[in-house]
Amino acid sequence: MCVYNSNKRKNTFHGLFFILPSMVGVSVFILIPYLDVVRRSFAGAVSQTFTGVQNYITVLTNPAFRLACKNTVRFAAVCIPLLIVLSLAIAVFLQRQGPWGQRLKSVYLIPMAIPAASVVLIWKLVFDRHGLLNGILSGLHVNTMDWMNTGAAFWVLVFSYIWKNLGYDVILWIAGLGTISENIYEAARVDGAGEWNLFLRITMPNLLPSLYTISVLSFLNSFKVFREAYLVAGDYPNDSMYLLQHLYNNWFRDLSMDKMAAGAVLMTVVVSLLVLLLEKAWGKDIE
Amino acid sequence: MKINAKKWMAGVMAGAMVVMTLSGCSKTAEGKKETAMGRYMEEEINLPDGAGYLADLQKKSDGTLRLTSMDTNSMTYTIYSSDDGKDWKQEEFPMDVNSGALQPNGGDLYLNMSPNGEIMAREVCYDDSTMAASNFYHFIGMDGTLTDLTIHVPGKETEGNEINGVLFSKNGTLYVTDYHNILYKIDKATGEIAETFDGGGEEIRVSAVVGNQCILVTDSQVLRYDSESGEQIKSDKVLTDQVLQSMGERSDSYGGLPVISFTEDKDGGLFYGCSDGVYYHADGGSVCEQIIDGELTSLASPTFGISKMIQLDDGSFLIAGLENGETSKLLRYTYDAKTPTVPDQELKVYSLEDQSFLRQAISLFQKNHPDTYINLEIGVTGEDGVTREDALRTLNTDILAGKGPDVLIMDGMPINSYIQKNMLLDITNVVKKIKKSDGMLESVTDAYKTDGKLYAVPAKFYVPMIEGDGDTVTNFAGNLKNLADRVEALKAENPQQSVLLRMSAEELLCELFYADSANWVQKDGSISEDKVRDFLTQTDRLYKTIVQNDAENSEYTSNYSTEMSNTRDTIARYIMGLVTGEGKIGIGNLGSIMNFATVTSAQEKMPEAGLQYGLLDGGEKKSFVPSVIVGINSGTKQEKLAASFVETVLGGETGTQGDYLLSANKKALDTVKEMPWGANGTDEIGGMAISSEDGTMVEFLIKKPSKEDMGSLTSMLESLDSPCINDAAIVDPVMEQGTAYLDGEQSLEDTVTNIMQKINLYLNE
Repeated sequence: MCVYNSNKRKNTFHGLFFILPSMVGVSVFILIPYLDVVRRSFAGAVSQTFTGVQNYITVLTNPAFRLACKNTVRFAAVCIPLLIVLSLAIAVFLQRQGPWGQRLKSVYLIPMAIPAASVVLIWKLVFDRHGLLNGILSGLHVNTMDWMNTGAAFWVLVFSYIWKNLGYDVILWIAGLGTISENIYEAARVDGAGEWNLFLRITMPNLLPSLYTISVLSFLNSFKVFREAYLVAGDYPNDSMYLLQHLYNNWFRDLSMDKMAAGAVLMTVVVSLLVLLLEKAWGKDIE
Repeated sequence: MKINAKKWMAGVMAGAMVVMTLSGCSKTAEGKKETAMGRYMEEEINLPDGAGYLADLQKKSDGTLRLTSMDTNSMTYTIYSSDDGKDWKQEEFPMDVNSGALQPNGGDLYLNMSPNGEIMAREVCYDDSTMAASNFYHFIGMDGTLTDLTIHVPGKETEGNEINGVLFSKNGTLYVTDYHNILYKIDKATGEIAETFDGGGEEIRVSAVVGNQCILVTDSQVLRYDSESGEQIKSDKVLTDQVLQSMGERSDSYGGLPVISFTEDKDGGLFYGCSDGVYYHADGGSVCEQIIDGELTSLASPTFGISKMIQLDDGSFLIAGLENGETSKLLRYTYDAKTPTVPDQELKVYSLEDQSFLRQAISLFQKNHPDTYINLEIGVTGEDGVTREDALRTLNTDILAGKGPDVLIMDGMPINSYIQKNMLLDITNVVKKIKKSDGMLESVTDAYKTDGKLYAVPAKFYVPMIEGDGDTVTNFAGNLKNLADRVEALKAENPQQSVLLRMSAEELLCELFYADSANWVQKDGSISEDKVRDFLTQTDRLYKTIVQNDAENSEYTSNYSTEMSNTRDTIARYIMGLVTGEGKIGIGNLGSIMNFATVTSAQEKMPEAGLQYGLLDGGEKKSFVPSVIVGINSGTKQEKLAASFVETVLGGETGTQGDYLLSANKKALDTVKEMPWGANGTDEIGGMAISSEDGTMVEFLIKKPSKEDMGSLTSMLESLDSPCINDAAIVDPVMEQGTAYLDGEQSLEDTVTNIMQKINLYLNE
């Protein structure tokens, strides 16, 4: 018993020793700066004097913050389910195509390989007031619109996100599908199960661990869509696609470090809670 | 044992990684700093009495200096000679050059002397109607013999090409340059071209004769020729690269002088001087060494141009040049081994864009504070794709890291946000001090007054102006609706005649925005949607009168940029259109008293039109466009020095430089009013021939405004009461969406909705 404890402590010590370099990096570049952000959220922008919870009150009553939160939540609520369902459908389809499907899956990764600057150029070419899309609509005698300056801008953003991330999620799903033994399906088929039942009763339950990972990654990737949105529409896009990142970006330009810090802390709390909820909801199934 | 070795190795590697990671955060070892010593110090040499325009500066073969100058009052030429420029003694020309014998045709006279005393006189006559120049040449030998020369440069008859410069080599060979900067070697006896030095098909930007070399600088190379044999000297890549870098995009400096000036070294090397300073390059050497840093001298001033540079026997330099394009200056640069190479103190100044007014202030400050180096950082240079927003974010990062600039020029920056965050120091006392000594236009200095304190003060400004018939200016320039009514009525009277001059939708929006936007701001700081709608409606009415029967105008584009403050001084170009009859009303921004002269000269040119000028008001407020908005970073550790620099920026001396920009300093305005403007002491600034739409040339003489006009300008400036909206987050959507509306791409309501949505987002943040 004593020998066991000694070995366990030794192993723990060795483990700590190995994670130390990355722990130092994470601490220096993430944890310590984040603690400074928390401190700043209770202080003035430049003077750094203690202001209590005033920054939080300012942020929570700020109409731009509320709009950005609403849009960010709306964006995530629309995009993530859509992306997960679409990518799953394509992954299942591709897996059933055998070797052909394996080759085809690489094609879905192409959008990820295209640099943001090129994507932005395509966006501008297609969705500009004088762009390709309006040119086609005009040719078909359909009313054109200024895509980036109307509510349509939100759906352009959704389209861009799905287009860019679909391939990545498909690959993740295919990896998950690959872990399900073919024997289970064969056994079920022998018992008379149909394709729909196979999917619902075997595929879905076995994909739950993947679903958690894919959901979290898709959620985090949704923040990256800001890059394209900013490059196309600038600091102040149509208010349907005004995201939290736009707001932080503009606050930084105006040196509103107080509001930015409070907003960042609030956002961390919400994202962490969401991830914990997901883990709790699917955690048992994962184990 | 094997396992232990592996563990140790893994441990060592992990440790090494930790050390490497942390080493990136460590400070570099600071050794004992040794201050580099030795710098060329600038000193202005008092010119001899009566010396005005410096026509030439030479070092004779015996080492003495010779200065040829023209008295600007009596228009007579004089030569002075001295050992080292301290004591000037008058010498005689070989003949009386002021007798009129060299101006038989009554033209303007330009003299150049060879090192051995020969004189080339160039008499330039201008055609009254076309302003085309015709030259006559007279050559005076060492014995005073006068010979008339006829020099024909290619293109003289076909395109009016003429000689615009005369040069002598060290041994007295005569060279001339033409309008294309092509260099010709001339036979002094016959006037025939003995040799042509061209740029090999490329445009020549600078041509010079230095010692026994002819030097031509084109866009991509520095060509050198032996002045006697005419043979090309092997290209020198080091010299070429440095010269082209020093020249940048410029073809000439202020006053029309070449961007750079060459002189020879006794060992065969070359010196050249430019706004960057003075450089030395040994023939075939591997470096081009900067021996004088222009930033620490008057050379960097945007209003100073070098006309001649020579090196004295003791190694010091004499540089002759023109300040403001008209005042001659002679500067000596003497090496002082006891002065630190770089000044001990450094003051960081940050501006989003480069501005000549700021450069002038820096040059003045540097001159009065030789122990201080002004480190000017420009955020948006246009060379690296950095946008205004990128630059602001970088600036903010520096400020938060405690590495921010000492002084901020806040054009295009979120000024109110900076004030609210206590990021700026109160400079009320600095302004008070200048108010006491010089007087300041309070409406301008108080543009950003907050709680009775001044944190950001504009040093100069622009005013929206209108010039047209008296009725329009007096009765209809008070608001945009009245102006639109009037312009439509005038257009209806004569549909074929343009009323407003041709301008793009963005240009019109911009000119009217500056006049009207001050009225949009409501008491709570929000922007009135109704005012924006009205602005767009009236602007659209005005724009329709421009494009009504001008199909080409829809294709009209210009290089105008709303971001660049240097392009805001627009009134003069519209006044030119009035003079040529292309329109009846000119609107634009006035940024300098020099351009005000254009406004008043147009009245004098066209008495029959009954032209009047006045402020263009969009509504109740008389607005202006603040510029060079200066403030001090509250994080500075050099508060006194920064305040001293702010004092220079807002001071009277800066305001009297260049084109006499509209300065908030009253003394500067008064000085400009009183001083003679013309190079020869007269009030005539210059003339120009403008091509009208039907191809005829219209001569336009620009004169200094009369005392009455100056008085009227002062009253107008003193009546200003509100800064226009100058925040890019509001200006940009108005320009972008407004242009689409004026071009008929979207409805008024969509345009207003889009603009207000973006503005409200910004204000809500």
